Amino acid sequence: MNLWERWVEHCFRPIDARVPAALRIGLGTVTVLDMLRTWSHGLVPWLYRVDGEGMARPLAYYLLEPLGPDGPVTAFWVALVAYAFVALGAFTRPAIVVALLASAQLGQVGALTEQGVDHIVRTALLILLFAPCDNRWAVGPSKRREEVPAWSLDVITFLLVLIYMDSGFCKLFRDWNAWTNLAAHPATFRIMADPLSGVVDPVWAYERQWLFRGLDTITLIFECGAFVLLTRARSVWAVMGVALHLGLAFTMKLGQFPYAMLAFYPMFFVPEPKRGAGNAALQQLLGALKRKQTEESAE
Amino acid sequence: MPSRRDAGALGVLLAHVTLFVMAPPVFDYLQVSPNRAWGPFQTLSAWDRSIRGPVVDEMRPVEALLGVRQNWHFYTTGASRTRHFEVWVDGELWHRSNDREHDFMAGPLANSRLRHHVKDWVRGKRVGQTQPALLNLMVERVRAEKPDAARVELRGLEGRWPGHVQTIVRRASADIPPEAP
Repeated sequence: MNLWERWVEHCFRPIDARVPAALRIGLGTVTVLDMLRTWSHGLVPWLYRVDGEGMARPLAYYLLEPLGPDGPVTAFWVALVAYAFVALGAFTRPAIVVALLASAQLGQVGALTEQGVDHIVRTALLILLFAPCDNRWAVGPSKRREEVPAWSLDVITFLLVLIYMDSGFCKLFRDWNAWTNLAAHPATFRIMADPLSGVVDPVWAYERQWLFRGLDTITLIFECGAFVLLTRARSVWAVMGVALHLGLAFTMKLGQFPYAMLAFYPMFFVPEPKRGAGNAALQQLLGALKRKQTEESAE
Repeated sequence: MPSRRDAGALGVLLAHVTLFVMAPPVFDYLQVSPNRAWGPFQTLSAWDRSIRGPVVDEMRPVEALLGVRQNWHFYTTGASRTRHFEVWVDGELWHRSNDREHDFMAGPLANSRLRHHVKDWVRGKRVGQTQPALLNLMVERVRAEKPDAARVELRGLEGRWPGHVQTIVRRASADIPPEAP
């Protein structure tokens, strides 16, 4: 088998159809809940109206102008319904397209209202648009299948690796002193104890900076070493990722970020079927043993 | 003759390459902040800007249309100083960031969609864009809670860690006219 054939085999190796379905449901549900939370706080018109009364200031690629000042508010509800359809697995592909376009326009309404995690969710959904992700756990009319090709999860894993490594390296490049200088306040202390975004008491945390020094080290190791998620040891690394995002969920006010990221993690804990000639031989042997057993029991 | 699987695998390969071009670790950040590059990264960063930069620029309209811009240099080194946002109503403290005793509108103000507006206002960024709407929002909510409130004041405070001493660096207020009978 040459290199290309191995690549094709790798892309189309079968995985449990419930894995991409779980990712679809997770991302859709977290986004819907986050949008409902914004609505329940009564912030939708304040954040998205473009008549100068709210905080929105449209960017270059804002296309909803013909709909008037309420256009983004309409787009908010359209996106919310579309994300709900994505989560339910009803008309999944059209729903993903509508969710992408509508929520991207919301992002164009104001840079501050948009978050990095919105881009992550949309990029993952863009990948799932081309992949079977509604063959299980879906209410729509899609065909039920037990196994689907693994390539979509491979691309999404690669995306996460780029995100983590980019974030990790830029921490060092932006101000390596903040992460490595033992005399400076630990970066995680300054992040988690920031009253405007964290819930950790700065005075309490100030007395325990050694704790945050440890968290700094673990964060850098996890992010810069995120390429391990591409290897067979990924489940070990993913445990660190789960701990990191749970920590963020409990110590910071980041909205949907930690929960959307956690929605990606089930795929790292699902064991993949063993591949290769050795496995094929093993499967043949097991099949032969099973047939022999059946024949013996029939006799 | 290439099969459908071959075409699919080629698409997957292109997806990997596209993602890598859009956000290669280190260079994605250095393209935004080239002055941070040091040593050999200065040369590599210059090559990156001249080779990858134009390609990424061509992708901008598609990235914006689909909202899939690949910039991941977030949550870097945290706040250099400790900052608080406060809401005072008729001289009484109603809200203070991360303070359970003064938690008026704590939920909406901590909402991740609004939080960045509040943070920028305290830091003095985009004040012209944020301040009128933020003040009007507060007036509306204060009025719902206390119809006879006469004055709402927003304060931004800054200080050195851990924040024992803070000074007011931003202030905005609104006198609420009495409601028509």
